[in-house]
Amino acid sequence: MSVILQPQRRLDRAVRRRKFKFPWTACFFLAPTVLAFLLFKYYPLAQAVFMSFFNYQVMNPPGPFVGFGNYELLFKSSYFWHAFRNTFVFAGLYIGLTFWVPILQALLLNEIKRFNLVLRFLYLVPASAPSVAVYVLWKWIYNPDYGLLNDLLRHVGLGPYGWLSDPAMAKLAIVLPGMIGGGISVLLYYSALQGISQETIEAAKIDGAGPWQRMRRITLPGLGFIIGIQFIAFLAGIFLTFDPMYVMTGGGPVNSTRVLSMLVYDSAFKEYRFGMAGAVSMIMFVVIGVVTYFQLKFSRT
Amino acid sequence: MRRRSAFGERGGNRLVMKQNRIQEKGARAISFTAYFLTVFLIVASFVPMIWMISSSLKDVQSIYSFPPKWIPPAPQSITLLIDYSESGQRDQAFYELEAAKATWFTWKKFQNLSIGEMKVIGLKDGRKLFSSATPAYIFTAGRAAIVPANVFTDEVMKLKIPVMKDRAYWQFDWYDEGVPLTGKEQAIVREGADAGGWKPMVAQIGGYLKQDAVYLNGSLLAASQSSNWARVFDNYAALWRLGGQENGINFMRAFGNSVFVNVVTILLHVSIGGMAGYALSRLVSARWSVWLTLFFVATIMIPEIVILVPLYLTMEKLSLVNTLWGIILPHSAWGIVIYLFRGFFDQLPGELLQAARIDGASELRIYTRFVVPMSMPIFTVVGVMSFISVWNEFLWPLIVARQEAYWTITVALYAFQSGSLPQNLLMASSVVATIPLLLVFLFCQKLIERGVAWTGVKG
Repeated sequence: MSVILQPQRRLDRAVRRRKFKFPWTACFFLAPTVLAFLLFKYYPLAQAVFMSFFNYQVMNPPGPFVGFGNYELLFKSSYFWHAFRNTFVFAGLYIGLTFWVPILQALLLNEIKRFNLVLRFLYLVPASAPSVAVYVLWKWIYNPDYGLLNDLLRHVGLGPYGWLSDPAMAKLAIVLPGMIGGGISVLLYYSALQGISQETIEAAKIDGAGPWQRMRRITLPGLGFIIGIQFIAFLAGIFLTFDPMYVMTGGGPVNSTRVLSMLVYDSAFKEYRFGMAGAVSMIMFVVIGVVTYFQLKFSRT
Repeated sequence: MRRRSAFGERGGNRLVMKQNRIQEKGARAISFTAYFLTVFLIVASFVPMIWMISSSLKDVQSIYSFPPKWIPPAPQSITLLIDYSESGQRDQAFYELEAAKATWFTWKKFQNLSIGEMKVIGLKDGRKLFSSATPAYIFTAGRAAIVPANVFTDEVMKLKIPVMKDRAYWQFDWYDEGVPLTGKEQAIVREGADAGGWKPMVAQIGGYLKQDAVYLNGSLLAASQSSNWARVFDNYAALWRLGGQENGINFMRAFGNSVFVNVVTILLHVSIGGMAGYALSRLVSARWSVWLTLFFVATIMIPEIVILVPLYLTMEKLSLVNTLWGIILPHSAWGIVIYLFRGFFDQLPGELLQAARIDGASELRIYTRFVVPMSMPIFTVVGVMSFISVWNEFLWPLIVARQEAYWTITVALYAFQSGSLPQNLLMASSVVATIPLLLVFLFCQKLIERGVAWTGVKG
């Protein structure tokens, strides 16, 4: 008996062992990434929340606990509210002036059969300049003494304008470069347009819908989903924008282009008030969260 | 119109071909509008780019002139013939000093003129004793070191000659016994001896050398000025030469840093990102997979600016501030990379992998031998998308790379424009910074279109 049972028992043991086998391979595959995310995403996030409640000292962390003191100080400061308002004004300008440009460009591309690939490449060419190079270039174009733009406007009898030195114009001057050249977003919308079923379009054709009508009634609504997603990402991106203001104006003139992200940078790396920087970034996090929430809620209904 | 849809695009016989040309109402109008507007928008977006290139070809004089011009002026070559018949000196060192003074002191004096090249030829009794030619980029690169101030004495230049030889600014031909002048040089002697016939630029320089300059032992015999388009790209050459220097403007080092950061980041993404994506897709149970994916992908919602300060403090603790690794390592935690890999691996046919597993291949072997070769599209897409983002990145390198030696191109461009780099060199740097992405776009357009569709529609 026992001789016969022997293999069975061994099999049982093997099965049990496999059941409780520690997934070494999976761990080996996942460990570096999990570690990286913990170290470079979750730990800093927790730290950011933690820091915002302290008058944080780098030499002797975390320094004295101040509770909501940092937040209170911020809410009382007109400097903060100024940056807060600027951030929203920029959001409005970016949406109004730049968001729709790649959509329009993709819709136009969709009507073009010949040279389509070449035209798509030509849209990419200006986007190949690193964004900082573009800002540096536009700063040169805006130059009040030797700039190209004032010279071009002079020919039509306008200007000269102090684009980046005039508080009334600086915001517009920063957003303006985004208006020309949709870059990679054009490809995104274009590829989404290719996904719209040809059958629907053919059916509309047979029903007598003209090309303009098809564009308005079928193609554009077909893009609705992707536009919605892009809009959420776009808006979140705008609230975080830092590079163009920092490179082109540095927040001036008279703080007219100082935004919240710049407040984070300044309070941390210029004034070394890390707790304050943490508080501002927390507020930004909440603002973006709220905006995204309403976006999602709005687009669902 | 209906026939067209019924017969398709490539009708077989002539009749159908003809009917294909029947267009519906408004089709031509919309097609015309589309072409017209598209071309207009593309041209508009090219204007700043062309201005950037045009500016990068200008010299220090034409870049700061108003009204600005689209076509850069032709660089001017200046040739100075100096006669040493009066001097009794024979040794080479004396004439080396003379050539260096004639080139660098004169150029420094007229540094705001747009000189493209300075040739100095020394003569003794009608025979050529030495010749030297210095292009503009050498002067641009060497000005700060060789002629920092307007102090024009022999002692100063004696100290600088070893520096010039060391940095390869030195271009000096010595003819021991003297050689006859070439036909071109004889023409300069004939036509350039008379100061009345000089062009404006050479008139300034020649007048100064004849009357006011005291640093030369010879006398100016003749001078000429001619257009030399070969020197139009000298701003780029100057950037390259500035790159060899330890301090000051060093764009090439920043370029090298950027390349390093990008290459290592891409390798990180495709190695550990790919492995994690595969594990999520095939190696862990469904429940674990969902939670882990959420763990990774949810971080997309954490804005960079929110964790910026604590991440910097973390890097400081790891003593990675002011290292290139400090810029690179946080890139290893990109949710979108994991998401893309997982999505792709989910769609791989499971049978092949199962077969390999039954044959006893280890998971690592299955991954490297079967999964990776089958998934080349996703690896290239992730690589290209990482490159586009990291090459553009500004804020994080700005914070971590606080010392010049670790600047990436974006930080360097920012620092140069707020520093003292002249606008033409700045624009040349911008053009150089654009080239890598342009090449990627040129060769990987299809891949980018695919990648954009994956990231955009899903994420």
